This record gives sequence, structure tokens and C-alpha cells, in this order.
Amino acid sequence: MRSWNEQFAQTWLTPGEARAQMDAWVRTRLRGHRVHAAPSLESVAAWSVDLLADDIQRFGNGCQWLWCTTAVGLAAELIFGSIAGGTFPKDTPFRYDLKRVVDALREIRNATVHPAFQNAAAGQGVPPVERLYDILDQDDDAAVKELALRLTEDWSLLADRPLSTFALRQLDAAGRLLAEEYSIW
Amino acid sequence: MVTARVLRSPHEMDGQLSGFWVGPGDDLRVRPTYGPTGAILPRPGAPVLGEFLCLDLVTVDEFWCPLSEAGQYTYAHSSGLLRGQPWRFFRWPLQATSTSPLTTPPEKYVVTLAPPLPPDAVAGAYGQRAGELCRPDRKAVQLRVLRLPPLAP
Repeated sequence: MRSWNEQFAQTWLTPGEARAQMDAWVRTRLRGHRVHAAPSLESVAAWSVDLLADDIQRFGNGCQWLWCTTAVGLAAELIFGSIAGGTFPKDTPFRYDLKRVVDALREIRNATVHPAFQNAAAGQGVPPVERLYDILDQDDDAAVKELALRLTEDWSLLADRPLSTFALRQLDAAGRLLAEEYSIW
Repeated sequence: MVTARVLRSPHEMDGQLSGFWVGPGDDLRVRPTYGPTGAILPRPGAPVLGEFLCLDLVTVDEFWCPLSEAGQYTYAHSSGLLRGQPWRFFRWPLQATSTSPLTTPPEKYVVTLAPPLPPDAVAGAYGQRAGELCRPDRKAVQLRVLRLPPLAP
């Protein structure tokens, strides 16, 4: 199995021009949505692509997979929420491949940041972990495919590395497709 | 009683070969208990011996569909192939699975990227269904596949 650093280094999240441009694009979008003031790009939000990318790398290198996956979900919400200046959009304007990866990232984000959601009657619709089964089952990575099967009975497996690996790959694909859609780089 | 949820099996395309992607440094000695992780679609009527061209199929909702260039970074095997990694595709023929599902050796294929195919050329090369299911605005990923000879017993 490749090290987390090796996996991370192959994505646009690794320090460099692409990541810097995504960070600036998100900050600019956020500032544009601010109603009452026009803050500087540096002060517009506490979370940033730069910060979360560093966290994804650090948590992964420390084998803190649940935090690592959560950081991927937050990064996805920051990036895709910045388009309209709200929360993670439920109905994205995207189609085909970009819609697919954004939908996957939304479910990953929901599954990690709604830790008590077990009961459809108590929450809003189907618990996100249940929606993840089919998404993970459609992947081509054997470890992710196995996770999909085992996750149906053991929701604590959200804390394992295969979900972090899958989440990072989806964020990499989503960022590249978004960059193409909006000419970010 | 806890009942494991049965995950859906996507609808296959006529002629597709379903199997399992095997990444660099990995191996599969027995057929996995989970469903296929990938599929390739040879040109209709073309022999699946030696080296041949295929479409790369992925599951989208309930169907196996041609992978487009836009989706290449979404999957482990296609992003790996883009980065020059050696990926293989293993397949257990149906007749083998019904008799000795776990111990029959798989057919093994070495896979590399071939030139992508414009969407309006997909139906002519790979059949009408493939043309219907491919993205209309992006090229489809084509693979060059080399079937490895079986090892002597």
C-alpha cells in the first residue's frame, strides 16, 4: 500500500500553483457573497483550502483517518458551498462526472459531521451512512468495495483508511473538474 | 437479527467482460466475495486474445457505462493509468465460477491507455448501447488490453 504522502502528492491539494489558485478562487467567491462588508481575502473565513489541505495531509500521515475524512468533507463543503455562499449545495448545477463526485463528497461530509444520525425518523431522511453504501460499492478500489459491504453492519468503519483514500480521490477529481468548469487553473 | 443489506448489481452491456482491477504491487489469488470492481467492453466480434482495444466501463447508478476523460480521476485504476502506473484486470469466467468459484485461476490482462474515442465514434466501434450510454460531450476512455497466457500447471 502506498503511503499517505504519496497518495496526497498526486492530488492538486499538494502545495503548489493549483492549490493556491483554488484557495484564492474560494476566498474571492466568499468575499463576493458577503452582504454587509467587503473583508480582505485573508480575513473572509476561518477555514481555507490551504488550511484544510494541510490538515488532510497531516491527519493522514498520523493515521487519524476519521479526522482526515472529516477534513476532506469540510474542504468539499468550503469549495462547493462557496459557489452560492451557503452550505453544501443539495442540488448542484453540475452534471455527469462532477455531479457524481460532488454527491459522493456531500454524503461523506454528512456521514462524518452528523455522528448521532442513526434513525431516519429522527433526522432528515435516510442516514447518510446508508446512502454511502451504494456510492462506495460502485468504486473500483477493492478496499473501498469491501468497506461498502462491511459498513452495512458496522458503521464504526467510517473511521478506517479506505474511506479517507476514497474521499481524497473524490476531492481530487472534483477539484480538477471544478477548475475546468470555472477556468480556475 | 441483523440482516446485511444486499447491494445492487448494475445492468451489464452485451459483450462486456466484468472483473477486478488489480493495482501496482497487488495480487488476487482467489475470486473476491464482493462484486466486480470493473468491466471492459471489447469491440463486437473482435477476438479477446492477444492485444485488443476496449472501452473502460464504470458503474453509474444502475448501469455499466463508458468512462469519459472527465471521470478519469474519479477511479483508482483510471487515475493510476493516467499517472503511468501498471494496472491489471483479472477475470473469472462464468463457467469457472459455477464449478470451483474460489480456486480457479483468473484470466489476466495487462492494461494501458489507448487514444480516447470521440463520442460520435463510440456507437460505430462498440455498438449502439455503448453510444447511448457514453457522455455526449467528452471523449470515451479506450484501453489497450493484452491478455496474458495462462501459466502452465
